[in-house]
Amino acid sequence: MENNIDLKALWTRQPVPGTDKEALLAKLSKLRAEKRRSLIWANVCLIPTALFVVWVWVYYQPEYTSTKVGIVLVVTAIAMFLIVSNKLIPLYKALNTAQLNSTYLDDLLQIRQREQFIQTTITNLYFLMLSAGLMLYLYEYASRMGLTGMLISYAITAGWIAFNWFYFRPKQINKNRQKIDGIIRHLQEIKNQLAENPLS
Amino acid sequence: MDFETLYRLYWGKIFRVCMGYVGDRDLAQDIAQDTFVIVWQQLSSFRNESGIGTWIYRIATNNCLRQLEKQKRSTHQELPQHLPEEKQQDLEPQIQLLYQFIAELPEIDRIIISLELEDVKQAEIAQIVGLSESNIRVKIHRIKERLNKRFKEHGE
Repeated sequence: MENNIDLKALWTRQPVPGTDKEALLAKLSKLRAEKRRSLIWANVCLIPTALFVVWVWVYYQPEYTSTKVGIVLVVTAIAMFLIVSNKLIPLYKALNTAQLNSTYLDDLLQIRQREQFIQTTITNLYFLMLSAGLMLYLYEYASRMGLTGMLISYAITAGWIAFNWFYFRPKQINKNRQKIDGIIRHLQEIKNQLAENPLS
Repeated sequence: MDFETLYRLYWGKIFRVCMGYVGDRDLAQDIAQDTFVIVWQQLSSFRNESGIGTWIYRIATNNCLRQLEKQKRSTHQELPQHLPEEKQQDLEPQIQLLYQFIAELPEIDRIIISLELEDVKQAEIAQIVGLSESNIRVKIHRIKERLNKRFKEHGE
């Protein structure tokens, strides 16, 4: 052991950059700006969609309740998808940085798993709501077309919905899953390092 | 203790610990700064449940753990196992080697050895990482053995 390197001496010999209070303050204001931006984004997404629903409602004067429900379903689906995909839900807000590494890792892992669940569920819900909304919306106008027209419109819409459900939906879910799966695996690996018993 | 004093007292220590974890000066400086942003924001709510040092080290090491996650999210890449040459040119070769060998360790071991080399007491390390003190002791012994072995293999 006498030839061992003095690790501590080596460690403390490394140059450390000086403190930089200005950079720190800049970071702080950047953080605040980011928070503000995400809030603005939420409003930019939501207000026009809400206005759009009102406009369609007033301009086209749908007579059937099914049309109105359809419009609301479609717009809600789009708004919900935008909110979730823009990560406007503050999952990390409750995360306490000043706790034990082990607890912090548990929390991170839990958040990630929840995120994975939400994204899969929301994507499914989005496609369901969109399809149901479209079908309902179509009914009022299709019913004026006569039986053949109605059948054709519904066949085309059903085909489009099936294409979305069997092609776009799994693709979207897989894309999210791959990203989060990697992170979850890595976090799990680090967590396992804490579970190891070096005495064994 | 006020923020200014903490910042002066702990900046170097926190930078070195972050450096031990990520092995990249720019990134380490970034995480150290993030740490002090949180210290700034949360100092008023610090309740003395642990020592102030333990508290700051926890924030710093948790930020390190989170950093890897963020990187993975944005780039899908692992951290470089070997330090980028151009950035580390100003470091002594032996210090560069030390970082290279620490980078080969698993994440938690990197945190433990960085805190140990920073002269943090083993009981305090246990309170930061969340392992028992005896567990920490054994781990430190093994990590040091491994680092010394790597230095010898390298002919130092």
